[in-house]
Amino acid sequence: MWLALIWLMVGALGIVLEAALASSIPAYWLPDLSLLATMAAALVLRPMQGLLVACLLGLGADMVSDALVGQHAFMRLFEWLVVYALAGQIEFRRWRRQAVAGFALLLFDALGLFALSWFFLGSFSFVWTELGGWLLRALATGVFAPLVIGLAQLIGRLLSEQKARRELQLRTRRPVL
Amino acid sequence: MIQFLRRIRLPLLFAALLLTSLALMLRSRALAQEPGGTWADVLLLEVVAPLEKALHWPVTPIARLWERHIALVGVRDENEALQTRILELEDENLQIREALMTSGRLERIAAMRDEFEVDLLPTEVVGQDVSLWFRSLLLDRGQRDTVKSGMPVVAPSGLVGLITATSPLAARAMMLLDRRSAVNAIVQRSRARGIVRGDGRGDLEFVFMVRGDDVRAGDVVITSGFGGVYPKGLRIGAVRSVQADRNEILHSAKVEAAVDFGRLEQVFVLLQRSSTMDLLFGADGDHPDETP
Repeated sequence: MWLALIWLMVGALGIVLEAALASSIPAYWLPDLSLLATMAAALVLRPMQGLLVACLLGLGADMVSDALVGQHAFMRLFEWLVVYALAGQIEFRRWRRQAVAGFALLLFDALGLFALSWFFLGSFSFVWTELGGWLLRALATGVFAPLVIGLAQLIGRLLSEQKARRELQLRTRRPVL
Repeated sequence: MIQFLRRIRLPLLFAALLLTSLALMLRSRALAQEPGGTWADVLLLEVVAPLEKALHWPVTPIARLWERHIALVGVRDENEALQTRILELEDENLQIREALMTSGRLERIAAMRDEFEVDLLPTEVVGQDVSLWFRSLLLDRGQRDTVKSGMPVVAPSGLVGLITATSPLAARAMMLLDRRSAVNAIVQRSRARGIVRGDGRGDLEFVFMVRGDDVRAGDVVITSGFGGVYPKGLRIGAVRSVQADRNEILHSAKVEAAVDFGRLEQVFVLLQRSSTMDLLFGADGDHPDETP
């Protein structure tokens, strides 16, 4: 529970930081932090908590974007599902796999957002030359994927260690029967 | 039964969240027709803008350090070219002033300028859209500073876009680069008229009629004032290249924006909304006039 809450806060902070940076650095060079936080949530958190965190992070991304409210949240749910399903099949501990997953998910996200915009807003044309920008952002997202997942795992490990210590203390004070 | 529900609680939660986000999108789309921003927009702007402003504070010096001390390749050459250009323009300006004085039109022009003079509200850009599909800015002034949806946003070098959502302390502006943006424009030299719109790649496209329209590379494109959204004469950019296909009714030209959208730190909101926008948004407030 605590891990989910802390991760939600970290993800929200990441979204706001990304938006603040986007006014100085082109968005193509920035990793999609809410997507990476969703990825980490699927790998580190319990399924129910991870799903809720993914949806809330998506809504957070909607906040800093001119997209329809719910558009990013919709995509984050599917991205959580993809990572959750893949984590059952593939070992995600290797940083290379995490990076490739981050890269692929960003492209999936961009296509999904385009499809939703086209469906709900209309008059959205697909521009092939924009693919270069997507690839740049996908690369940045891929590079940062192991770092973000590593951070989530570290927080998880620290919290579980604290919990184990507490349990140990309780046991030592137990009266001898 | 409870056992069964427990077993399928994850798919159930997934379906519930999916339906909720779909419902939110549909509601948001319906409310998007009502300018001034949805309740969610207002809430989000109020929460996000102060946070981004706080985070932007340490980011700005780093960006400035990069721009002012590291990314200075070619600045000396550019400076020399600009100095020469200033001298040329000063000379040209003097000649034009002299000509106007002679023809007695200067007073009339001054009167006209007073008529069109609009208050400018300086606002700080605290964030930009992080999505790949939308181009918008988050500004740190809102309804308390009389900012309303439909007001144009400009930078010293030219037109930036239009306010699309406001809250008491913040506002969101759609940039010209957004593919939903369209500005009625004219070429300053030939008065050829058309529409400037974002092409989604970070460029502007000027679409104009073929017959009799004279558009060349280097031509300056300005707002036409038609449609009443933007005042006349705001600089949009310069034509970079013209795509001329004689078989098509409409021609298009690539326009290099006058504003560097990637480096906007401060912009100005024109605190006067056109009558067209008043009709659309309601004269007093930010919400559409509901009277029939």
